[in-house]
Amino acid sequence: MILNKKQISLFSVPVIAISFLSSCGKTSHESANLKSNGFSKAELGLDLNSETNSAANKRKKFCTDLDNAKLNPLGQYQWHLKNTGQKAFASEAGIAGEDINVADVLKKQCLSGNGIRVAVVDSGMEVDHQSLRPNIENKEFKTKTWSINFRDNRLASNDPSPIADDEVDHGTMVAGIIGMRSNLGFGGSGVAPRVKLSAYNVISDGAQSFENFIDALGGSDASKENDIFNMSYGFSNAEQMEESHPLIASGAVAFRYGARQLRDGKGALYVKSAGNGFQKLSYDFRKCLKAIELNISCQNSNMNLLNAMPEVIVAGALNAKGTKSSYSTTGASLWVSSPGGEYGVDKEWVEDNYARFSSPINWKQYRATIGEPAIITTDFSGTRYGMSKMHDANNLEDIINIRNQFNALDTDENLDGNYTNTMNGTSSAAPVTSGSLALILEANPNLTWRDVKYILAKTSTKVDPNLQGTKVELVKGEVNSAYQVEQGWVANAAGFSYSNWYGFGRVNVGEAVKLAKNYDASLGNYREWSSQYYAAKIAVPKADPKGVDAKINIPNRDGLNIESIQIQVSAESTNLGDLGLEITSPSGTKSIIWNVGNGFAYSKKIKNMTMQSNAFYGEKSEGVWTLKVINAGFYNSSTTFNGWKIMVTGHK
Amino acid sequence: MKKSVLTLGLCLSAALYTTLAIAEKSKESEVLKNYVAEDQYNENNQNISVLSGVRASLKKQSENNFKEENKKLSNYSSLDSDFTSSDPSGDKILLKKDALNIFQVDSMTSSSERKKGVSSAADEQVPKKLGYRVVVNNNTGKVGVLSEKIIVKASNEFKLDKNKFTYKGYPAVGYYIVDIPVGAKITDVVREIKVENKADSVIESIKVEVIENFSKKPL
Repeated sequence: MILNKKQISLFSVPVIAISFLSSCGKTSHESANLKSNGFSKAELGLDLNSETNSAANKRKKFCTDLDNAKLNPLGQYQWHLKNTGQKAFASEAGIAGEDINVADVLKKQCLSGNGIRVAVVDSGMEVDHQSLRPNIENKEFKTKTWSINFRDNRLASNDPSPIADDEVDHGTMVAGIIGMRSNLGFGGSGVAPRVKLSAYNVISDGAQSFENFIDALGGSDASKENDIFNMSYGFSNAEQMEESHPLIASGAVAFRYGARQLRDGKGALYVKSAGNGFQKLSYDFRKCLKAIELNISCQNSNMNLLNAMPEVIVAGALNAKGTKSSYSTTGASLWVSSPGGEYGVDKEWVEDNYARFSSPINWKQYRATIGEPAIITTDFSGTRYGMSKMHDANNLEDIINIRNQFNALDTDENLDGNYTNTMNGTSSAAPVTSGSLALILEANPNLTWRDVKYILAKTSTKVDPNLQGTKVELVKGEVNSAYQVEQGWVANAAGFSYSNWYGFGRVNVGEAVKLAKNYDASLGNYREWSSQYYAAKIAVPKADPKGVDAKINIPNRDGLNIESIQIQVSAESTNLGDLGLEITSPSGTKSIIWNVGNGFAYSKKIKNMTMQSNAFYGEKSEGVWTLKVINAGFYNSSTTFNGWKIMVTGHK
Repeated sequence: MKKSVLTLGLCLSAALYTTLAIAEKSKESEVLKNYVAEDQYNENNQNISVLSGVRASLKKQSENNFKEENKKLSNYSSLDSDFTSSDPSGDKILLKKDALNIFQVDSMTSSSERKKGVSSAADEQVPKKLGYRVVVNNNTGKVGVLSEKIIVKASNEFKLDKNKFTYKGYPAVGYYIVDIPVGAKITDVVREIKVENKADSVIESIKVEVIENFSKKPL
């Protein structure tokens, strides 16, 4: 049955979809528009050309009803926007309500990201994709923003589209999550379906350079008018990276500049993926064995500077059941979490296809969460490329890689292969966050980057509320050696709850928009304060949960209301996998800023390495800060603490 | 009993794999030891040699990321570096490292691109089709490629003779990106940058951009 259906879809003639422009509520200016040729005004960009740069257009409201299957055929499957417990073409269902609470914001408040510009800093973006094209303005030096093609290929300098050689295009999937145009009669919706998109393919191999990253992240005429920069990429370094490394320094410079100068001084928003390294980091699998054993993160979000800066909103990933995605990197520099999903495999579909060859599949060799839903978004168009495409039904590897009938072009909603349901990763969590920020900025364009961070911290949903963290005996059988390797939720003295797994929790667009519209907080002038560096040379006792304490006092006169805490720390060890670092604030809040057993195992040294904790947000900084240094003894290492300093950002 | 044997087997396999991986990584520069340096630069905490007779090109990468970790050793195909002697293009590939193929080229072809001095080299860089120039970090033994750029952190008083150099300025963030002209020695370029900006207060740092791998990955 499934085989026959699949074969029909593989050889079916692509159907030109009928497009709709809908009306929704009194504020909508769209009208129903069935066209016999199958192309709507919006699809052709006519409404954009006539409305671009018009102040009236910026105030327009565009409604999106995810339940309207005629206008948004994929809306009913997009659990990250509205989780009804759907399977989204995977094996397992999610849990109803575990989403970003955006459906009513799109449908009733009719926010759409209109007037907001988001940069997709990624592998590229297919600018002619039918669900992206209406949201792309791309004329060099004529439109406010335009894309840049950094690659040495035959495409135009403003065309970052993938080429056939790419097979898949990560950036096109990311772009759709942010701003897939809704109400077209095909596809679904981005989180902000009227946002303006531009893309910078700087992650492509060969394009990664200092200059290109600066140009992509707000340093060029093409990118400087963006409000939000989405960065669904990261390093998988398993040893310290120098902050002068061109690919680190370029980002750090751009973030500091953009947060202070762009958006007329209100500051651009930089959103970054936390990482997919909970169980995997680098080529050397030894590095993650201890973390896997303890069910703690192998990659710590603080492993390079770009994830440890106050100007960056670091996003972790959630599954459709409302808890951390299996791969999502944790750490004290996370700000929020958003849906990123799992792997979207339909096990029954795979098994049925395998059965034709009398070849049972051994699911034990795959992740346990492989059958849970992933994210539905735009894909490299057509049936030859992308995650969804024609596959060899006689090749078992092809079958498992295609994962389900949606990607196999075996559903009415995806006969042409323009969409996929298997995008995942913190690469998905970041654009869900970026799209959410576009709605928040549309609700209140006067917000600064710090205001937006405050709103997220204040309104995000505390998911997985019973998370307890992990406790182990550093010496087996000795109760006195019990050590809390990772904490659950911690309530700080300013009333914020924080978790290394989730940051301040899952983005709650409904609540965030409500606060944005009524925003009256004043964060005051932004200040940065740093202690001096205190050198030390202290051997850290093995397997002793008391570790070694170092203290720094921040005088009353230098006290700030904390927006971020960073430390720079130096240590050396015969095996850094034993090193753990905890900070305790003057108010008594503890943050594990560097978990023992992480993927720096088998490296030897960190020197002035910057790490960030957001757990102290809103607390007062004056008083005595304590850094506890732990040698877990997992690797029987000799570990020495060599010194530290503390840096505070915030306001008086 | 069976379980312990299996565990031992896995441990031995893991140890063997790891030993091989680490050994191969340390051989990065070793495999290129017979290639002489056409340029060297040892200033400002950088000590690099640009090799003659080799270039690097980009290769495609693929990854299946939903396999369970450590369940199948054969899944670990993405070593940082590995070695082979054949390539579909016909070039002799000496080293594969992440996204890079480092291959041997005709030394005449390589040197013929390097005739001009700084004084006549504005707007010219090594054509990318020849591949990236290959660099060995003499401090770490790691192999990388030259982006043909020098990153200068400087005040907005920074200046350079535009007849000699092509450069792009980001005065708002205090950076200037200077192209290394074809045929120019890196040391000469750096010296000229310093000479033209006499005051030490203008230049904060100078770094030759070396990319050891294109290490930012989509997540």
